[in-house]
Amino acid sequence: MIEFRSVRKSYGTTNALVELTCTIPSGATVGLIGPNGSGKTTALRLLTTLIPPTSGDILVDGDSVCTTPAAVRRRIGYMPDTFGVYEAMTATEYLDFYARCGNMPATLRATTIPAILARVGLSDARETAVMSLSRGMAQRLSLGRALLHDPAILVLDEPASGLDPRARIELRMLLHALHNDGKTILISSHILSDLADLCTHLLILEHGKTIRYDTLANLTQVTQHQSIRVELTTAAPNFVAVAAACGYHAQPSSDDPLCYLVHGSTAPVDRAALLQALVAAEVAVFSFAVQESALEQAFLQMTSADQVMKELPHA
Amino acid sequence: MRDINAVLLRELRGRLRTPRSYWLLCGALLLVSSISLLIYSADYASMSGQSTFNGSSGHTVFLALVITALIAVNFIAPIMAAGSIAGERERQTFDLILLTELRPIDIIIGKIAATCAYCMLFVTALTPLMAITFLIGGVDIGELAIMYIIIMSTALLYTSIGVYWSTRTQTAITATGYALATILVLLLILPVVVLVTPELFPDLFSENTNTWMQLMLAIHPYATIIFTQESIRNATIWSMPYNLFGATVVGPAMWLLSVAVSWVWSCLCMVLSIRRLTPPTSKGAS
Repeated sequence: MIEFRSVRKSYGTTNALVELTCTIPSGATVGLIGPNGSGKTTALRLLTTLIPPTSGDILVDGDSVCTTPAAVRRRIGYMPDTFGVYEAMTATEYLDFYARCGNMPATLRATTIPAILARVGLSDARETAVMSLSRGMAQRLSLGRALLHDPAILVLDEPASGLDPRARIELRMLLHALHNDGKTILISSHILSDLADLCTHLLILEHGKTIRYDTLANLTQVTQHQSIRVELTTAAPNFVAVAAACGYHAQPSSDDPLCYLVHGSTAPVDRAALLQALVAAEVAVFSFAVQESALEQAFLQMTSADQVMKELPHA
Repeated sequence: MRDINAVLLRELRGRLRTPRSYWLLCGALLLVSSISLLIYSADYASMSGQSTFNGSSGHTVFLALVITALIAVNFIAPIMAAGSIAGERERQTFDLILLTELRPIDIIIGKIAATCAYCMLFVTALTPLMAITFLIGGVDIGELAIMYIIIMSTALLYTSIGVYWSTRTQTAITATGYALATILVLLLILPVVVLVTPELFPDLFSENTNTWMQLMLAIHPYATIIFTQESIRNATIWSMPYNLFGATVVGPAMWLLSVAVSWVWSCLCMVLSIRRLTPPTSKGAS
């Protein structure tokens, strides 16, 4: 269990993190989301003991980052947002170096390193120079390094940034497997759809302040009834009126004149009634779907939308 | 059995697997052998009719080799050491090392040992050239050993200075600049201070000028080599007389003093470097 207790981190007069208080149960996968500069990386670096808090404390299974940082470090595997490269080193040697740094005996290294390479899907690249690995492979190797000492907690800072879709899917599958193994995972990311798929809890930060910390289910439930996206093949001037007759509020999408966002109940019966009414009114419906990412809706509602729109990748 | 220091192993592999270190070693050896060949030829030309070298020639070439090797170490040690910690920061691997079980002392010793090992490789590579002067004559094995010790002590000191600046800066280039500037002060400014001080304060140094000069220049490897030549000529390798406050006391030879001073300053730099790597005490946990 990880307990953030009124954690504050300041750099001079700038507050990077303000009074963060939350409890993360063992085995949870917690996503940290927020615009750039919201304090995500600061929170993760505080947990890994790389920087000390200005005030407050973080307890990891009872060990404090302030008084017993070495004990905390043993429980944590950290994967930073950048993959630091050593020249002239193979993937095996890279892991061997960090295993030696962790005082792992030679006999244990001989069995652990091949197992880790197999786990992250890099057995075939064991003798490949680290510098020549693709971004996705390098990220998996970095995750392998974080797993070397079999930590109970994994702290991953933007693990999917810069990855192609295939590498993102592979990483997501790997993280699912680690979650199923009972690891507690803290993950910061800008890719909300990945977090929605992975996380059990979400911590939303903005300007260093905690906007919301809750389970994913609770957070998305708030917005589940919010919108249905309807795409048409031809313009339908009566669309708004038909929707209103069914109890829905429709507004045209700003980016597509043949698309409407309809707000109201997303209960299957109500949705079916709306669709039926639209068809009866000879509206040419091409697609009709509840907004896929409820998490995006939640995030936009809870943070300053203008700022978020600037920060979010248009992926 | 305890494993070899992980940082040392990685640094050595990282350095010796790149062409850069091979070319650096070749360049330094080429420089030393060229200069010794130049001295060798000049000495041969000045013999005016004699057909063979004598002991004096061997000694001249030997000293030229030692001084040139020292000049090379003056650059190799601080430049390599200055990139050690700052380079980790630049590569963004520093945080990951700090999160391992390694203590700051392990990291610093690994970094210093790696650079010193490279300097030792360079000095060892000079052995064939040194052997030529040894075979010509005029140099005994004791003198050879003393010069090796002075060079390696200097390498340790300059490496420690480089690593210290490396812990204080974010980039290797800045650390290199500071390290070379510090060594420049030690090599160029210190002798000027030592020469000028007795002139400024004649009452303080009237009887003991030579002793004070020796004590203050103990950190200066070139001065140490010059003073040691005098000791070797006088057959007093281990000890020498010092004039202190009107009394003559027998103390360690200049090269022993120099080695001791280098080690003390190296230890000081190491302690300061270790302190720089030790995480700050938390202000939290109220």
